Amino acid sequence: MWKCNKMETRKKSSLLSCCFIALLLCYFVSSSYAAFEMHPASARLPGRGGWSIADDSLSSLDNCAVTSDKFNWEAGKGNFYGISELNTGFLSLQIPSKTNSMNFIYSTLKFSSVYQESIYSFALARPMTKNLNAGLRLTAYQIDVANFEEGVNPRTMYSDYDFSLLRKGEYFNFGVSFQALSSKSVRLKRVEESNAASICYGIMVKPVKGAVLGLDYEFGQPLKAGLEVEVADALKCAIGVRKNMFTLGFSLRLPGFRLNFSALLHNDMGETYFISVSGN
Amino acid sequence: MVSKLNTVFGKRILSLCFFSSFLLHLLFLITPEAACEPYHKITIDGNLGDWSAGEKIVNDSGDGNVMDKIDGLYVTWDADNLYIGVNYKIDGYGMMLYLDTDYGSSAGFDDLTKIDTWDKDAKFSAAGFKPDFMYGSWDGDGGNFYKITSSVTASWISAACATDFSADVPGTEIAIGWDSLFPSGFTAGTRLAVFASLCDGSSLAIDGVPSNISAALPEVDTCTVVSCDTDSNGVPDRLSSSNFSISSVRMPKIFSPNSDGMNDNLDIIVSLSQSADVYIKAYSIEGKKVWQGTSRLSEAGELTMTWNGRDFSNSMLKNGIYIMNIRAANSSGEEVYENKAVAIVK
Repeated sequence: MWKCNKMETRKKSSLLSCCFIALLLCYFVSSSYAAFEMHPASARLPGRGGWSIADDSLSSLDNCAVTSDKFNWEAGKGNFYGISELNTGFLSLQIPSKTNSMNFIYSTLKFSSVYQESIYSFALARPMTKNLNAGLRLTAYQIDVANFEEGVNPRTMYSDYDFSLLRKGEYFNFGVSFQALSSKSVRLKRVEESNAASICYGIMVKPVKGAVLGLDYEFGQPLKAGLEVEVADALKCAIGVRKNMFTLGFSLRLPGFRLNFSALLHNDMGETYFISVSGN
Repeated sequence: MVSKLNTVFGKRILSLCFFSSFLLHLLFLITPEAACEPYHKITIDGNLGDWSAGEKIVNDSGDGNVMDKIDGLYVTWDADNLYIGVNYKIDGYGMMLYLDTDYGSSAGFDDLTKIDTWDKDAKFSAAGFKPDFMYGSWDGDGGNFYKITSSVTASWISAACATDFSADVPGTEIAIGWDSLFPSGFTAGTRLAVFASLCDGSSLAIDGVPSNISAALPEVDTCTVVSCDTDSNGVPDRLSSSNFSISSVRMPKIFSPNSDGMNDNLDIIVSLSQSADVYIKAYSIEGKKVWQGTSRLSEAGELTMTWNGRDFSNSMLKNGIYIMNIRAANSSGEEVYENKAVAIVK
């Protein structure tokens, strides 16, 4: 009994310390940096407004969720605002283990032959306690630019890391993710750009079985919120909102794989869509 | 009772079938002329005075003097013909026009540097523009129209052509039958792309419309695009106020706003089929608006707007992809838009 209480106290204190670290990090964050926000590594993600930090099942972006105990993969592509030359492709692979699970992501945003951004990401995660996951992701960014003017670096690389905590509950999940660039400045031609760190909070509510409601908040950025509902055994539907956009998506389970589709409807610019297949 | 109902219901179905087949017959009997009433039949005489302002798809008139340059490119059609007009005047030189009847497809030829007819060293690098037809005229003669059969051969085809440099609005007018352009029938959703240039004895030179973005003649890195069948019903659209459109948007894919004197500004050239208010908004790829420019009551033809790569607070934007949302609204309240992407590299 005494031992049990002691364990409970230890769990509480570890949770409190995690929250304390997260809050402390806020003070060091000057402004946010939201690069590559539209590089989804899952077509499910944009359909519900883009929130993911507190989700313990969508491992593609939230490195805490990498502890999900199933091997899974996803590959897909997308097109932005009906511009045929502006496309993205993505690939995600997750290898679970009892102690440290791993996740790899490759994602690229290509505009014609003049500009391409690529992401190579590796995440490692482990359960700290029964309900608390922690994850670390290392990401390398590569920018390739056509040589249109003297002095342009045809290839530039920089990197960042992000550290996340996820508290899972019966009705609520809470997550926090801290991101910082290890290469603070990026220089494509003459002007150096400094990139600040960012911190993002997420909450996921599970009001009834088969429905999740979520919200991500990053300082200085618009809120991302959405709802995902399992309308049938094989079909999940999602809707979401973010600034100037309404989003929707579905995920259909077919024999051997899932088909995922999402669309972002922008007030002025029309549709952006992502499509993928995934399996586990 | 049931059999009576069946009989009545069966008769109704039968009469509905008859009525439908009658309608179908009517539809097939309708001639193209009836399906697409002539909008504007052009008299082919080399005088472009009878074209309306809305038919001028590229306006290249700078100083009002048309001598030794091309001032404008006109396109219109009726049920029988496609009409193309080029407003220019020059002595001792020629004029070439290249037409792509399936803009965006891989059919056509982008390297005509070895063609056996009217070889003007022309090479085409604009995305989707691969001419299938061409026209050549020398020193004010009527000229001839050709189908490009390979990158080295072209065959003459019948078309009404006339050039008159003494007219009020001098230049060349061409009428080509739709049947000549589309022998196996007009293609639904057809988009035409056109480019015209003056030429000397050996190559495209002096002036082209639309103006090249960065390449130098005889290389061509641009064209103007006209949608002939916006409702994709397989019949050329009637040109009316409902055909209000942005004919083309031309701009570089990349620019560098770093005040080094090279490619510091983005020039966005918008071609309008009618006069309209034009709004250009720049968005980050996440959909956040970062800049807006407006031009009130722009005339039909070409309009150039410039963006310096800065946001509303005049701060320089980060490297990356930005979306230009070009929106035009005419006096009838119709609104059309087009999205184009651009990369900022500083």
